[in-house]
Amino acid sequence: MKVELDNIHKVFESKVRLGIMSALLVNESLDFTALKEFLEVTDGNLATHLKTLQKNGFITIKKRFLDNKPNTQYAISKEGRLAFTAHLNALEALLKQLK
Amino acid sequence: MNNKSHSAPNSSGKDSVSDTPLGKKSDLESPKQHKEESLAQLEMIKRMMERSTRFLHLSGLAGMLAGIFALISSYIVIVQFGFQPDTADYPYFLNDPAVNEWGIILLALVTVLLAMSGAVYLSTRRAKRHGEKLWTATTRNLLRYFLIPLLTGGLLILLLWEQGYIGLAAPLSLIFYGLALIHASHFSLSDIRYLGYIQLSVGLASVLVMDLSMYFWAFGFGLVHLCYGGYIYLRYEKEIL
Repeated sequence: MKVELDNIHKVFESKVRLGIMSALLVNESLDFTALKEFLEVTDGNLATHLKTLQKNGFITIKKRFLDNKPNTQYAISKEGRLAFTAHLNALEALLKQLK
Repeated sequence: MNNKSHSAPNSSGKDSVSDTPLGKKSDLESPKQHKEESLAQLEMIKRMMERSTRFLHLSGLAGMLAGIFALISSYIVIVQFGFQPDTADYPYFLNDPAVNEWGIILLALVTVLLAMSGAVYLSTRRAKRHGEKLWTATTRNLLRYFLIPLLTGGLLILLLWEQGYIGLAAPLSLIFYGLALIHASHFSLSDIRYLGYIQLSVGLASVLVMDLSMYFWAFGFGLVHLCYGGYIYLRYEKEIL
């Protein structure tokens, strides 16, 4: 059982970060508003968690202008995809062992 | 799976196993708590993936309601207005100048509006019951992808109607509605893709037997909606009500 815990990543301990990664895994990219609506969290809360994910290199950020308003697009990075899938596999393996 | 060699980037090296617990009080956790926590996490992940890609609360009742509206308006159009095109350039309005073509167009628009309002209202109610927010990027995508083929078709029908091809209205509305459903199914229940294929086929077939095209229309928008809505209702909603 301890072996599987290797892949239970610290970054994914937070529910919000887990949610962000889940949504980004199945979408090409999402902007701040879309993420906020899906997760139902406050601006500040979401921004903090996005920063943590960015620091870990799990997401990429693209800033652009949409109708003269700044619009930030978030996407999952290659490392993020690997880490998150490893996390998912670890969760499933854990469940299998504890059955 | 060999997790020893595939550890996630930052968890190898400095983080030992006991430093990377699943939950915060993990050193005290029993296997049962581990299991519950993992299950909860997986459920949450699944919910987020679904919520960010598909709107799954379409109401089957709304489909049935749309079917009833369609049957009523096709009865009015066929029986009351005597509108039964047998060719694409059906000269309906030449026979009787007193007949108001706006009556048919208006009735069609009212039917679409009523059916769509029913769908929005009943789906909103379902989403609320599941504690889901309605206006998200997912529902915006769903609407956009549904409306693009639908409005294109509607406009084409009106433009052709202007040129006298009023017999094409029924087949084309079925075909473009089918395309709209197939298009929108990527952001909702995949079941509605098959409803789209059915409407598309009924529309194409009705061109082959033009003199029956209004009955094909009543079949597609009326009966098929009624049955398919009932199927969706029984499959996804019955236990909730």
